[in-house]
Amino acid sequence: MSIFSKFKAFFSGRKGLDKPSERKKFIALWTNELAAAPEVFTGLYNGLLDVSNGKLKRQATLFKEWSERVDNRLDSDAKASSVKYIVPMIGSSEPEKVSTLAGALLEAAAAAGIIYEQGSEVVINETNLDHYTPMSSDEALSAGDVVTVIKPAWYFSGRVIENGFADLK
Amino acid sequence: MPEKRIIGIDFGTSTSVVRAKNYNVTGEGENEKWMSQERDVTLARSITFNNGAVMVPTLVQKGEGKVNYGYDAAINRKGQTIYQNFKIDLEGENSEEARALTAEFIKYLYEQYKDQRDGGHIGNAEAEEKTIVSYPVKWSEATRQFMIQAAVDAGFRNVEGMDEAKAAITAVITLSQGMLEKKNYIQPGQSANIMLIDMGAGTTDIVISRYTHGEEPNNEILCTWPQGGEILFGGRELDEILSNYIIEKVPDDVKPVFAKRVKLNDYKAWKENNVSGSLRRNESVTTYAAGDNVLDILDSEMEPFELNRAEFERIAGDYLAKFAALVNGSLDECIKTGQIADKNDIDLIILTGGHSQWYFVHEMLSGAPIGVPDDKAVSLGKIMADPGRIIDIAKPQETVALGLAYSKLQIRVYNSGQNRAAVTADAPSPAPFPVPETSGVTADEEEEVFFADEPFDPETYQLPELSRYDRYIPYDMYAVPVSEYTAAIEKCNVRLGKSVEKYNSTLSAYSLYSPELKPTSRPDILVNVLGIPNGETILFLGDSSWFQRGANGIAITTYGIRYKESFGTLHALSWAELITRSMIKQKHLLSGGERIAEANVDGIADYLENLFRELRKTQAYQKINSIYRDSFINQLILHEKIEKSVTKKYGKYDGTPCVHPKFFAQKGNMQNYIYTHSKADKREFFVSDAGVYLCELFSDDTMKFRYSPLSKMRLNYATVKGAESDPLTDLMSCITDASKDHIIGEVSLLSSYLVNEIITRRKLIEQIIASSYLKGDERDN
Repeated sequence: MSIFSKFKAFFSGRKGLDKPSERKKFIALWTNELAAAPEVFTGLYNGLLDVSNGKLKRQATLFKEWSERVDNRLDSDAKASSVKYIVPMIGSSEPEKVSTLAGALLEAAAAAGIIYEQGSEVVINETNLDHYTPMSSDEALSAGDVVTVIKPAWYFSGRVIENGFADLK
Repeated sequence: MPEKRIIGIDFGTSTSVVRAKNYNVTGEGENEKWMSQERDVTLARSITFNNGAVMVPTLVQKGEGKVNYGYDAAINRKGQTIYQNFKIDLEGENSEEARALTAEFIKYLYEQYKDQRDGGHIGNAEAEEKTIVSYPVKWSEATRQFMIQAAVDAGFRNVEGMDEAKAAITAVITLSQGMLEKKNYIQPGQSANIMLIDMGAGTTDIVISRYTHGEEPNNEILCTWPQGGEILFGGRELDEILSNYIIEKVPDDVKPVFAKRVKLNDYKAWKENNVSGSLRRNESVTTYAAGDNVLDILDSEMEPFELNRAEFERIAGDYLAKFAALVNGSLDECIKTGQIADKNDIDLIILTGGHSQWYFVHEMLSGAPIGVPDDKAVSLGKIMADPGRIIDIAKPQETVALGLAYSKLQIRVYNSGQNRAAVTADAPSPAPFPVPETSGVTADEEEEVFFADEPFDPETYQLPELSRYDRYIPYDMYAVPVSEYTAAIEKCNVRLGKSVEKYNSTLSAYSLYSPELKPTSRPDILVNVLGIPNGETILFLGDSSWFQRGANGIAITTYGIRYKESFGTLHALSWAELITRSMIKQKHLLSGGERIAEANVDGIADYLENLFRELRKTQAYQKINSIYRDSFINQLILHEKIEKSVTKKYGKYDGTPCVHPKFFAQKGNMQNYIYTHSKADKREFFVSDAGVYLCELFSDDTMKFRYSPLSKMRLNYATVKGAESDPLTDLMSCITDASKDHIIGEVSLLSSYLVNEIITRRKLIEQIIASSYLKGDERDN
């Protein structure tokens, strides 16, 4: 079978991330990419979480910016994956596919060790002092403050890579 | 052999970097020789901060009896003051506080280094250490000495200083010597005027120096600029310009809240991850997701925008004009002081600092009047004529620290006529090939035997025109470190966007599936996917649209062949390696007319075979034919002749066109191959009537190809004892049972029986050759 036939067969048979083997391959690739360069996607993790939770309004912006960052900062494997799976979802009118993609990227992020604050309340201390921006106050937070999380902070290897937003309780 | 380590400290205004490189040292005094411990001499260990960051903000935070440094100091804490940019004040009138902060910060750097050294992360913890700390060229001797003393006081050992210009030039020469020499930008014994532009977050500093290339290079500083603080030009100002631009796009009712909630660092991340790269690729940016996070909470939306180059140049016009003024100011100063005659005297520009990756830097230095009228534009004759004279490296923020760490590497120069890549330092030899000793000859003698009748001589072989990869191409054709290709691609794709721009304007690629020559629809994507760097001419490019926008593809370039499968590894095979690989590859084993095995080793030859066949259908073939006739087109022609002759005589031919003529010249190797492999040992054997080829993959990804011609085998192995059973039977068993995880094809076990068998087959082949192939033309006529 020639290389061209192989390519043709590959693309004619694809079923996207619904296919378990494709999804597995996709997640494995993005786990590596995100673990190697988590800061490349700073500012997009909360958007990803929103989209996977059904907030589809943001998906076009999110995936467009994601694919741009891939083009600008990552290598050819990530570019190929982005072209195949992410770019087609920019402005997609298929909510299930969009959520599936966001979910798969979140799964890869989690596998890469990129985690977000799970609780709805956070007690501010010396360590997380600068991890949250208060939305309804111009004052900086202080240690001991208890805040309600609006959008969580994201962490990788013990350091914050995307700040969250919160309100003083 | 004593182990030594160079620790390079680049204490920067906004960020600092520490790199370490390990050496083996021989000799003493003048005879002391430093050799890189790593085979890739450019490898230097990073001292990391806060769980993996290779750079650290130069920040100190104090208050309420607490002190924080680096990333920890970047967190706003009530009652605490953050000290930043104190490096700038070291030369000021009130430098006392700056000196104290600097000393504390360097102590912090030492603690980080010490922890990682003692933890065994930097190499041998007991290695003798030498520390080099960098400082700006324009600093006084007193401030330089302060820096050295601060490093000593911090705990660093054997400290000395080096100016940042020298360090940056050392890094660039180490990483790019081959390319620089090949393009005649530098030559041994000759001087070149180099403009070094260090573009940091806060400031941009220019140093013009005269570099004399050689084994003992010299760098004479001609002038530095700016001499005062007249022009502040850094990345931080651009963050502000971009933040103002975005805030303008936010509805008025939420503008004040938005402006306070989105931090300057968020714009910085957007600038670095989106804006800079997209504009470099000449694409627009239309989204700002971090801003959307805030607007989502405020239940508002941003006004649509399109930030393209024209728009960027509009909003940043004044800023860009400052860059032109800076460069022209440095040149005027140098001319005024008589150091250079005019602006055409600049031979090379070296860019360092994270801010240097912006597209406008290259464009403006190449003469584009961005943000300024024509008469105020930068005008450097040699640079405009050849923008390749603008040199940057993969991680410009780390250039200086790398240069410090490389400073003990020995620069080697070659005569220009040698047509070989320069090697910047001694690298350890690859592990010796483990030749079985059962043959009764020593490993050295085996080595000699194996290389005695090479059909392909890497020493005399003239490589085709090479690109900037040249210094990474292994010249020992029989020890091909596969991983180096990946590393080379990484290093050469520093400015992938620039590659695309370049190819967008000059690409001459042809679609395999087009009936006529025409540019491909999306060459940029495929160029990116295949990692084709600047300076490499594309002869053929697989149609990207057909390949689903570049998920995979093939390109034939002056470097060699590059191809990639979907989600597969990117392969970059030089012409030299292609020829080597082609020599050892056959598809079928024929025994008594029966096909008994397929040598589906790595697929490369399959791809190439198909590619070659397809190529012949295209007009692009003509182009390649005219250039590479000697290297592989001749093989196709030869193959046609063989196919015709053999088919005529036997009615069937199972050969392959991927056979190098020199190998073919050994006669009789077009069939009768035996292939076997060992999964455990990762060895592959090709036994043919011409001899034995052995391919071995080592754990460090090094592949070695060995060839032992039949005549030598016969001499050495005809009387070998110890084969427990008939070797040929065992060999056949191994071939036909793919799951059998052992190797029978150890060269030492090839008995006289097998040799005789091969000789018999060879005789048969010689008859074929005598009757048809060599006289094929005459017979056909």
